[in-house]
Amino acid sequence: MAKIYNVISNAANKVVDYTLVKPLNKLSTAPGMAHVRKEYCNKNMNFINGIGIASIVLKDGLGCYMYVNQSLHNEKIPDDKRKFVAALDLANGGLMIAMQILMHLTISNKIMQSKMFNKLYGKYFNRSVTKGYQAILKNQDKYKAMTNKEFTDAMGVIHGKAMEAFSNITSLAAATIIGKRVIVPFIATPLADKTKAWMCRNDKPSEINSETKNTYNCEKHHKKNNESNNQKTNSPISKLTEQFKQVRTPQK
Amino acid sequence: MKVEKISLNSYGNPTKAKASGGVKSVNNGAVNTPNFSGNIVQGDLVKDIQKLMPSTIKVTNRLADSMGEIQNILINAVGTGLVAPIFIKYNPLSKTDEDTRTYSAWRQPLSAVLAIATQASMVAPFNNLINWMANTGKLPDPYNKTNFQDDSYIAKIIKKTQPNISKEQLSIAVKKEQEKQYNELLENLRTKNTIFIKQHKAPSKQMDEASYKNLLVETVESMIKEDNKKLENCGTTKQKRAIRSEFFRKHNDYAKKVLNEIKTDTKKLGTIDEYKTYLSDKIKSLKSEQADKELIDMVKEIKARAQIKPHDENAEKALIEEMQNKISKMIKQVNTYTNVLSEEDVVKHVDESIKANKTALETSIKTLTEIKKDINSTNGTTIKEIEKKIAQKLKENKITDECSIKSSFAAKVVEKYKSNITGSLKGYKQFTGLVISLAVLPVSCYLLNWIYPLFMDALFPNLSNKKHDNEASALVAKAPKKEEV
Repeated sequence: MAKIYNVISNAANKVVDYTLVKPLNKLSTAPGMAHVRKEYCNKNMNFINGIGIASIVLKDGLGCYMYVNQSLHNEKIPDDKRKFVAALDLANGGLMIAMQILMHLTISNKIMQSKMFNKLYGKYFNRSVTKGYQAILKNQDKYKAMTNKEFTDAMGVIHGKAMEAFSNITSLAAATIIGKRVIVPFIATPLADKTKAWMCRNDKPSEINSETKNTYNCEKHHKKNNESNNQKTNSPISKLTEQFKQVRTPQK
Repeated sequence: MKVEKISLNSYGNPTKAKASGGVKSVNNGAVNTPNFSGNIVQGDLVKDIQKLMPSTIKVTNRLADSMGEIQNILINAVGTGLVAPIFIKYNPLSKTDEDTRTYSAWRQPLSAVLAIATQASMVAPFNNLINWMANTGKLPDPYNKTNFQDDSYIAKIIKKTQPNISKEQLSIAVKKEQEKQYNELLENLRTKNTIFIKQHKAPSKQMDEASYKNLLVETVESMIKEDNKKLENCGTTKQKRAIRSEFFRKHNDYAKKVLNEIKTDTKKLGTIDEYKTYLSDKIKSLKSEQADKELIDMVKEIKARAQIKPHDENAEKALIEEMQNKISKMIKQVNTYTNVLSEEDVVKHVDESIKANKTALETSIKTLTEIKKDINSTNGTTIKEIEKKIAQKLKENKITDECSIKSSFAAKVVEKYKSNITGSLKGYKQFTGLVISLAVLPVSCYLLNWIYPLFMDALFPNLSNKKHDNEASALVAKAPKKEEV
């Protein structure tokens, strides 16, 4: 039994080795990785946030192309709604990419970041508070011999980490939530109407699906039409026009 | 995944430091200076400080460790699923009918759920696999974490050999192992002037010369950068000190009176909460008296210490003591300016107090620049020599705690080495995550196009033109039968 288990385990390990471990190893030395590594090691937040945004922008670009293509050919979406859905996708895609880049460039700005960070997190890192932490630690046996430098270095690490996460989250949230999901739909939905019109410029008038729920009240409309016709025929101007027409019409 | 025992061994590493005291003996052998302790593992200290900090910081820092493609997907999904539908449906600028807008809006939450289900669920196991490869030494050297393995990885290995180990014992054993790894790194740097990188199922190898030299240069550069930043801040500090000192000169008696009052009153207080209430009231009363902003700021500085929530009695005592010390320091500072009569004297005083720090920082930068030169020279230099040089400078000059040369150089190299590998892994995970999510994207799109109409048909038949089942069966019942036709 143990032998069989060993054979299966070895075989599984080999499969993992060839299908995952080796390709991942190769990918770690792919061209461009050295540059990515260097920027991450130097904690270049502009680059790190940029990579995050680039990842979303790339996915949006590819997704936009696929969604538009699929929506246009998706027969399950009603005919009269299909082009609007596709147009919304296209308008959304283009605007999203532009808006996310713009938001990233604004929010990831160093001055902007440090101002926002100090406003929200500054109170946790001011000198008075850190002195309090230091006093508590110094009171513990483990840290009796702790030097001032060791403490400030460790505080620096915490500050750096907090700043890194803050910068990452704000940059992503600004781009993907505010830029992409608040600003873009406002512009994209009206733009989609125009995009749809542009996409339909060569189409024959489309037939509305017979099963689409009709919200148009025919009876009410008919009644209203009749009323306006009656009004027209009873008005003195219309009587005069009628008479005029009769006079002008050559008699046979 | 198979956890391999071999990873906890030293891979034939000839240097064996004892878990405790290993560094001490190295220190004695290397440089005899109290500043070069490196005894406190920075990681431990960071963890212990974080325990004292508010949960906001704890959460943010946990996020910093795990920030990557999954977080990107999640944040993106929040926007897609929760925010986008509102702005599509209730957009006053759109001329399209409401039904179509509602129909389109419903696609967003569905798309978000599918993105998490397909992309995040694929990226997460790959991240775990990369972590495992880094911990076992299966990845190339820039990603090799065998010298400072993760807590979870070490715990798994210990559990494999000692399945009945208790939780407390396990956490102690993990800490001990991490300390051992850290001490080994320090010892190798000081005695062998190198870093041994453990390899998977192979003897450990020495870091190549170019990478090692680069690591030392990067460490020195980061230290110079740190000092330069502090040197720049000296200007701001000077300005702040000048304002406060001028206040002390002008309102010496009043400041003394208020601070002494605080000192006497707080001596009667026993808890941090009492301190907090007392100081808040004091600030209020000072404001109502229209006291100088500088004095109010001073009381606020004392109060800021009371914002910390101590987790036990000892911590509370330490905090109260620190606050008392601060008040005493402030009184001492006010007393210094009792006999300073003119504004020029104040400026002179401040200049003197800043000067020492400025000179120390300049010396530190100069020393580090020389060290950088030594590293880049053809003969090179060793960590031992660098630490000796720094020790000499510390003896000859009055170096303040602010300066980066006050830290253990070897410990700084270890921190840089760790941060480089952690950074590289983060970048690699982000890159891999991007490749995987791009590869999975067509699947997400296909699934969305397949599920979306079905979802709408099932839940919103009126919007999707599909009659509800009941309506459909009613229509079928009404329809003329074949025989009738």
